[in-house]
Amino acid sequence: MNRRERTNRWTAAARRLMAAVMMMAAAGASTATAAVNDADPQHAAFALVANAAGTLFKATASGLHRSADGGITWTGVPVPGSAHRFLAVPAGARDALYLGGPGAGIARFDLTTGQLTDIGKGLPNAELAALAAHATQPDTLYAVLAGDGIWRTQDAGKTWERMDKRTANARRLIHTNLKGSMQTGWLYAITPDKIRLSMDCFCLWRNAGALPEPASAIAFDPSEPATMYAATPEMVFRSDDGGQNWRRVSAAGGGVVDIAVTRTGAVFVLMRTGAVLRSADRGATWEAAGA
Amino acid sequence: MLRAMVFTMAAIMVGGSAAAAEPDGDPIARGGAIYREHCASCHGAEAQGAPNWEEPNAAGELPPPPHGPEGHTWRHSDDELRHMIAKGWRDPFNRTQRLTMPAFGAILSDAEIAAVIAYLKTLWTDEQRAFQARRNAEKNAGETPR
Ligand code: HEC
Repeated sequence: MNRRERTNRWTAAARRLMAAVMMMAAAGASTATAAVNDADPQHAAFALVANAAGTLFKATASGLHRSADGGITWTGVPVPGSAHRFLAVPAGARDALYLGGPGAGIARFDLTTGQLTDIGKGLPNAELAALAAHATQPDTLYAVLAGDGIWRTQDAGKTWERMDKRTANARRLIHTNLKGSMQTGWLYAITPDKIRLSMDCFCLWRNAGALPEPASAIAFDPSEPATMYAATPEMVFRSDDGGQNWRRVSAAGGGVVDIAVTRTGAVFVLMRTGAVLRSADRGATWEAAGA
Repeated sequence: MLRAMVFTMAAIMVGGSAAAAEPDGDPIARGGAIYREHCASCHGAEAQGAPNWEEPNAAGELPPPPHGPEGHTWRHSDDELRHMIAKGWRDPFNRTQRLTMPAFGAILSDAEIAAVIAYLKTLWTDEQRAFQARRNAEKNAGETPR
């Protein structure tokens, strides 16, 4: 993609986003247009997570940011290094995050001390393509190494084991505690063409229900793991059966890059611009939360 | 821990009595015989599984998988395998509720289940056997499937 195409893409994305904002305004939702009218790639956004206390964290090109008020106000969190595009919350943790990025490996970040600890030394390389925290075990973490496979640690990074060579093309991975697994939960991977899922024994990867376009993000409701959200760049979908069937719930518009769901069921989407939208009705309507 | 000890003791006791009952009581040979009698009808004479075993069939049920290197039996700890064979199993996303993998707890003794598992292990690669041994050693190994 050359610069011109890229610019065109961003312009198109900005237009879609404006449309979405206008749509929301028309629907009577409160908006914060100032927050979302900047579609400069410098402000690219990568990841959004919610911890057990409902605090949101987002990773953007300008670093790590935190919001304790449902995304209305954000403050920067100084983290050494800048290549952290992936975020994951150790199960139940309020004071720690796992961070990672392509070429950057994986670190555990202590929010109280500001200390960053490299926990990826046991991996063969730093070409991280996706990162997922276990839904209930704080020391269990999954890492996709591009073209290599899925690695797992059960001791917060002291030792890693390659669990699977399949699904090495996953670009997103989440772990959920949906019941019915032979072990402790399920893994959902976004591959270039499909969402795939497997019990966390890595036994059988099967297809989740199809979406009209490749997915850009996926998340589950921690208080009701059968409820899942997925986004394509244009649309948000919900599943009430662990990803077997998806129903379009809204047009968030303009490039959803990540989704986070809090324990109270509030759904947040991170837009490519860094803006965060919030839904209190399981994705049906959205309001701008902040940027 | 207690479970592991109980199982080890059971295995020792069973091992002893079986060896006494059968002069050449090789658990793998016994396991192979049990497999041919009770399992091969579904999982295949060569443990090759059903055709298209990776996809749900017309009834919305996952077919019997192979037990060799191409399958995923080797990804389970001994505890999980014992549980599935004794209690039966169905994939939670199956559209039907029946146990597609039947429960053998009332048909096979613990020793017979152990023997058939020993036989299944012969179908795996060295790498898979090593992977499965690590599953037996890890902390979740004692957790029964839900
Ligand atoms: C009536 C057909 C049938 C018979 C007989 C049968 N199985 Fe199965 N078995 C299945 C099906 C179907 C599955 C897949 C269940 C699922 O995942 O939904 C299965 C799954 C399994 C699994 C789990 C594999 C995995 O990795 O998930 C094991 C182990 C297994 N069978 C062992 C045995 C053994 C040992 C016997 C004989 C003692 C046996 N089966 C007899 C149908 C059968």
